[in-house]
Amino acid sequence: MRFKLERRLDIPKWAGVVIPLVSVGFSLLIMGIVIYSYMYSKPSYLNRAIFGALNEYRSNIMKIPDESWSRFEKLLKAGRMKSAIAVPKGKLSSNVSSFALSRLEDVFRSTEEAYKFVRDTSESAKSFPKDFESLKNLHNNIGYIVKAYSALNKAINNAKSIMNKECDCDLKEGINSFVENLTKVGILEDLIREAKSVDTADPEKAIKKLEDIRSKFPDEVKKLFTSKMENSIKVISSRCSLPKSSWEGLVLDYKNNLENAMSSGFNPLLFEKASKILNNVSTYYCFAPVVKVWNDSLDPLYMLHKKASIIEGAYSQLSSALRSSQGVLRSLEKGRTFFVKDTLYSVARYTRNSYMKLEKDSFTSSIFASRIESLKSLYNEVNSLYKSLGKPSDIKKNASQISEKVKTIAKKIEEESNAMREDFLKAAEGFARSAIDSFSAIQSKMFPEGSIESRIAEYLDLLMDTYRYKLKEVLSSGIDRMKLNMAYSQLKEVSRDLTMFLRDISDYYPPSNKRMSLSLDYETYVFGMEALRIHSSQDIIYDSYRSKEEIDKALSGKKDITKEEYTKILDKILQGHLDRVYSILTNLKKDLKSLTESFGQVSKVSWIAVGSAYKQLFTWPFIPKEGLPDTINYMTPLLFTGLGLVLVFQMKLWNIGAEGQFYVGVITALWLSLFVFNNHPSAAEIPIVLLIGGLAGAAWAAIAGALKAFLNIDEIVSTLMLNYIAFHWMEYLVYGPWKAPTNFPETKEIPHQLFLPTFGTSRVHIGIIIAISLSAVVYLLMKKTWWGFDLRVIGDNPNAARYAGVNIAKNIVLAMAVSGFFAGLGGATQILGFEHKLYHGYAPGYGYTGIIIAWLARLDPWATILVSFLFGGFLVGGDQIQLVLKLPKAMVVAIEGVILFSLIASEVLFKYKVRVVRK
Amino acid sequence: MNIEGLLSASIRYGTPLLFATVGEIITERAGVLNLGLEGLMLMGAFTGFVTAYSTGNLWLAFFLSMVVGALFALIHAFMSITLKVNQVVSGLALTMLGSGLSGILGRAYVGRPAVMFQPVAIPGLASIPIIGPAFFNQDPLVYIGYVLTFFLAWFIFKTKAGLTLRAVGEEPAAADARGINVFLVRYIATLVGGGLTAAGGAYLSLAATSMWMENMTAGRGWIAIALVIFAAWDPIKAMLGSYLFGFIMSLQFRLQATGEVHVSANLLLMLPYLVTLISMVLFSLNENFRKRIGAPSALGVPYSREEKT
Repeated sequence: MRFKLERRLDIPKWAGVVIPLVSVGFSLLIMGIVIYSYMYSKPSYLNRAIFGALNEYRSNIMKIPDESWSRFEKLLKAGRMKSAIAVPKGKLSSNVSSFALSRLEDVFRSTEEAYKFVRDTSESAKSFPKDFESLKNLHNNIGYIVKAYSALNKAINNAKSIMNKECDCDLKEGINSFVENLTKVGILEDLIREAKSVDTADPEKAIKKLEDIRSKFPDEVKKLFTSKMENSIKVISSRCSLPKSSWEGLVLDYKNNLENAMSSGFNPLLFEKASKILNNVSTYYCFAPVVKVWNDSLDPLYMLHKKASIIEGAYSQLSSALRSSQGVLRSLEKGRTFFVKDTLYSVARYTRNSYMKLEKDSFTSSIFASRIESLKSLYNEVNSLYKSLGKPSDIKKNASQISEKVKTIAKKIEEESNAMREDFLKAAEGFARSAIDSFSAIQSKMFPEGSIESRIAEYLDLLMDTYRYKLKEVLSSGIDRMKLNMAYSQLKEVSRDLTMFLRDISDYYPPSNKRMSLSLDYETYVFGMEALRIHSSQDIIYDSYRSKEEIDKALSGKKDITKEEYTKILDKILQGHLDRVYSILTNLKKDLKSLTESFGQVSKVSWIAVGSAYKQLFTWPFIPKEGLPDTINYMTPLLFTGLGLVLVFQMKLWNIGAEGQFYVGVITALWLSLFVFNNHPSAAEIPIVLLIGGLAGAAWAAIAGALKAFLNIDEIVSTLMLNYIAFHWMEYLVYGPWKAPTNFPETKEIPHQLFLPTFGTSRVHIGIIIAISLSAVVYLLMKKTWWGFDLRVIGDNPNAARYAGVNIAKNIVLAMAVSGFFAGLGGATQILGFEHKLYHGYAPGYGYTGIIIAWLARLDPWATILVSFLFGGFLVGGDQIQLVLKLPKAMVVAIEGVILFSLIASEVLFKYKVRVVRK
Repeated sequence: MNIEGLLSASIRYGTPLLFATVGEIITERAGVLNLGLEGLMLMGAFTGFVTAYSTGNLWLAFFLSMVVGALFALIHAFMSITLKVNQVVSGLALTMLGSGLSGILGRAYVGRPAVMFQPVAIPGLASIPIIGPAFFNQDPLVYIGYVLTFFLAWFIFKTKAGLTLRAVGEEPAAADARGINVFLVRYIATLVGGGLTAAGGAYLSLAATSMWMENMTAGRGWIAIALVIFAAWDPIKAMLGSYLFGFIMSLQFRLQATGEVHVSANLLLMLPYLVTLISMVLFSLNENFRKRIGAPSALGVPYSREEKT
């Protein structure tokens, strides 16, 4: 049994439409599968990479004990130190270890890549629900809805007045306003239609109908609002693990307000209230509230630090008071009574300053309330003592008494400053504790199962501990502002880290595996760092071996430690190190395994990615304000090269050199604009530049044509070579003589007078007009001239052409030249209209894509326009996919290949019947 | 300048071209034009690298890359032999598919190190001055290239099977009349050619370097297509041509590296293509050459029993 192709003679008319559609559809299906499998398989081979590298690492590190450890041990036991040292040096240090290390680094790189991947994929699924946005939009347009409603009421009233012959009002006006307002919002099309169909000539019927509309109106509006709300809630709850209870209340509130607004004849105020609640819902979406609450509870702690200068001031005043009081004591001791009074006055002043500083600020006065009180009484005490002091002679007399009093004061001052520190610490710790508490409260509400969450808390505790430690350091040295600032920045770090943590959860990770990823992020990092650190400490181990010999020498004379004992100790240390490496590795592996499991979730995200890829591909390139200008600009050069090839392919001349001819056009146009017309450039020179650019392309193509015509050199190869020559020539110019005085290899920009005009303010230049009009030229050339006929005859049957007296050689050169002219013109247009300058690596591939376009257009100039437009759209869509979904550029190339294959294959399958032949 | 080093590098640069060129010669000798060499080489390079990276077995990698190359060539074979579509377009599509697919799949492997073939000196021959170290102190794949070239030259011109191959490419109708299964021969030739081409790509990732980069063939597939014509469909000449190209490439790198001669790198890179073009012109100018270098008459023409012209 075998398959046989039979030519179909009855190719149906619809085949021309169906073939491309079917094959493009097929290609898109393939593309979906490719994107999906890319998204899906990436984690799995990342995992493979991770595990592969890890296993290699393990086996490498295992080699150390197996091969050299035992030998090393044996030698050590035999007391042959020197040889023992030689073993690990040779086998441990260099190859095995460094290779193992590089594998370990591989593991971490792959892991990092894996995280990035999860992030990127889930980002595409992250966007806020669409319905939500349009609901907000409805709220913004609520004015129109209210107006429409009142217009409806007015119309009914008017109709009633008309019926009662009370007035000669215009019924139409109200209806029109109703329709107009609703159309502005773009909703309730059914009601609009009904309103339009109201018969204004018959008020009675009109009233009935209008009242009918009015009765429906609130319900319809409400339906609109609630359905959007319901849909967005669905999305929110599927994407976010925040329990329903946290936002359900808000949603209910919103619905109530909405209801009230509707039933109260569309009260705009109530609408506004609902809209505000809606905004709240969106801010409370997922994790925002957590961050907020956390920040709120941190505020007092921040405040405490912000007031640090005040506290520090108060504290330093107190220190000065202490110093002064000691000065008083010294003066008394030495009998320098003259200074005592003044110094005591300073003590009083410092004490007063101290509490006044604290008192002045409401925040510090509340925290240090008891300090302020006791300092006040202390001040009074000092003050009264000061006042009780008489003349210096009296002081001398009562020296011992005063000194006793001052001593108690000094002691009190010291106690006060200690208490101040205590107060500060207590306040800071209290605030920190309440921050943590408030966080854990949220946490227990948010994450009822509590696994990674407890880890977050641990992490937080760790950070807070550091903070506390720093704080204590501050306090042990008095209240030093610099150190306080350090603690403050530590605190900031705590908060920033946590906020980032939370943002990561809410933004990047898909709901169900975010916790997993989080724990991995942290743990893997810690483990990895540990392992790397131990690895680097291996050097120290080797060093200790090397120095063993020296130690040995030094020990040889001594008797208190034997060689064996020493060796044992060292071995123990080494074994310990290795054990740690193993345990870390085991943990790491376990961890990575759970990473693999979490990747299972990616498949869900992958589908979303496929969906949005299609959407981007189909819609973006054709939206006028978005991708359409780009599509047209991409299409223009493709149309130029495609048209030239349509012509030359007619005669079965396989010019695949449109790429090179395009480059030659680019080079020529650039040369003319930069070096010939650069003095007084004017728009009048544009046609000249374009024409000469085209002619240069024609000349370039004519080389291959002549080689074919006169030397029978295959045009596929010669045009291919000419492509590369043109490309490298262009690169040479960009890197060499034409390089602009910048760091980047590029040329100067051409004078703006030579820019092709654009349509209005858009990016689209008039090159497209030239290209489309050339399609007509090609059509006329091919179908309405003898030359076109000749070309086709040469292509179909060269012998017949020869007998008919057609000069084949001349026509080959001519056809190649014309085709090259188109490509060169395309290049020149691209420079004048789009690029304006040349930069290194400029290889857009328009020539090669032109081949595909000419072929897909089945060598029809009109179809070429359509195909190049679609292809331009495809390229733009491809760029967009790359940009939005971070799919590799290669994806677009691969899809192009698949489309091409399926198009040419499907064409055949339609032309032929597949028949099963039995032998 | 170190001549030994230069020659040895020329061989290394030339070997991937050699594999691809002889592969394409086999394909074209059977009358099938495969312009998808670039895509095939990329798939070969990718498969080779991935296999070597994950198994560490270089020979398995080399073998698998050939298998994958043959499978890819099967697409082209099916398109051009069975479905009889335009071979230029199918080849272009193959290039796109190969470079795209290898680019997508290979993303995870970019920048990872793997094992690579190490040079093996052939005892005796390697000690010949200048030539020895350049030609006989290379990795095993280079030696395979030597053997393959001479084997294929013998096969194509001296064996009955080779005659069959050429007959299918020159006069498929006559071959068919003689009872040769034209389709089968063309399929086999395309598959074998694709496998060898992919092996050329694998050389890049297994012997020339030990890593994978997107588009790492950098146009070598297209050069190989030119080389087939340069070599007039003769494996021995293909060898000379490939090494000549390799020489120009390595000379270019060396001049660039030493900086002794101030020649623009781009102009030097242009040189191989210019040389091909000029040599093609020179060959065609000479009447004797022109007679001898004729392409297979049925190159690029699908064979169909029903539609004899």
